[in-house]
Amino acid sequence: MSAAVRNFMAAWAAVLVLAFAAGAVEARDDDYMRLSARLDLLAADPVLGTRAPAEMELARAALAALADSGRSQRAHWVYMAEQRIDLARAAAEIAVLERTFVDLQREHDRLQLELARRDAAAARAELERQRLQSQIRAEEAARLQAEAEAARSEGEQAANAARAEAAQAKRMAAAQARATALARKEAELAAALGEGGAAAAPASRRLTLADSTFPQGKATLAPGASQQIQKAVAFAGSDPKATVRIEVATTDRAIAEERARVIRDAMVAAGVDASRLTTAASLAKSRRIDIVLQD
Amino acid sequence: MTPRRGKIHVAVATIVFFSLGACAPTKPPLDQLDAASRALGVARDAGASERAVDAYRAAAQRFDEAQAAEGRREYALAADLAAESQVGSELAAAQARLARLRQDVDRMHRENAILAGELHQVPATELPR
Repeated sequence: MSAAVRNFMAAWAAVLVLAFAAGAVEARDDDYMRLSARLDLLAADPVLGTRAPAEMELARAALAALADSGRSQRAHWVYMAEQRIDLARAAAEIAVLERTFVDLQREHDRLQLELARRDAAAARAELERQRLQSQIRAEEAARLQAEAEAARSEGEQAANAARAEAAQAKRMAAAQARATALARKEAELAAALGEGGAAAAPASRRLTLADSTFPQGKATLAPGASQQIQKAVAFAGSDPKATVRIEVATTDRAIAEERARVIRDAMVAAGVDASRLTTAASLAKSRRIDIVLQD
Repeated sequence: MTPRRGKIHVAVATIVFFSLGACAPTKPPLDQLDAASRALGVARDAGASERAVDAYRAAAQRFDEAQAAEGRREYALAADLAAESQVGSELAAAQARLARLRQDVDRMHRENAILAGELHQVPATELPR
């Protein structure tokens, strides 16, 4: 090989080496420029730029290491710088979000406090409303109770009046029943008089007194004869306008007359007008005392 | 090339070779590996395996590669990979924290909107009866 050829090849080799070296430097500059631009963009961000200074410093250091690195370390430092820049951005975003979260928590607390105050005020208002309603209900209940008391009082009065009326009616009914019973008894007595055989007077106008009115052979009233006298008086009272004849029959005329007189006196003593009374004594085998009403 | 110039070249190459050999790490980068392992644990505890899946997976992969390089006694490469794993874990942890914070902020926004709505509602007790 001639010296000229060797020189030519050496020159070409030098050119190739220089071109390769220039390309490598250009590629390294491209990565550096790209990453540097990213970091500058982050630093210029008005929100994130100043939020993570320590991480930004580490990213700048990694970029500087990339700039100073040789070929063997270049990929490592490109990776490191890229990660550091991403980490710086993430740290800045974390700082911003933490601040936002704190603000939101504060707002949350404020809203809760405001709600609690409003709820407390509403609860107080509700309590007051309930108290007023309760008071109104109590007053209404008292009024109703007073009305009920008055109504009960009136009712009691009405009931008393009704009871009194009922008692009166009862008394009247009893009196009426008694009157009816007396009338029936009177009719029975009158019937009994009729059965006694008195010829002239109808049965309802004659009353026969019991034999026990006088003891045997005497003209004085026997004990218990007052009932017979009362019967005679009542019978005489059944027709106040009629005259009353007292008929006594026995085996001794004098005793009969005396007995008629005793009965007459007893009836006068019992309230029968003496002017209505007449006596009649007669002899008879069977003893008999009749009270006869005559028009 | 003269014999003398060749000897000089050989001497220079020898010196350069040994100099480079002296610069390469001769010990395993245990501290870097340990730091990378701890950073990976922190990222995992921060939920990065769920919230920052890609970043966490890349950091874990680089940690595995660092351990493999250390096993091959390629200590310089192991140190570089450990450093990359560590910064990757830090980024994964930050992204996980960011995701959680975004969720918290969104939740707080919603809660505040609900509270504000309740506050502007007329309470039932104030409605006309």
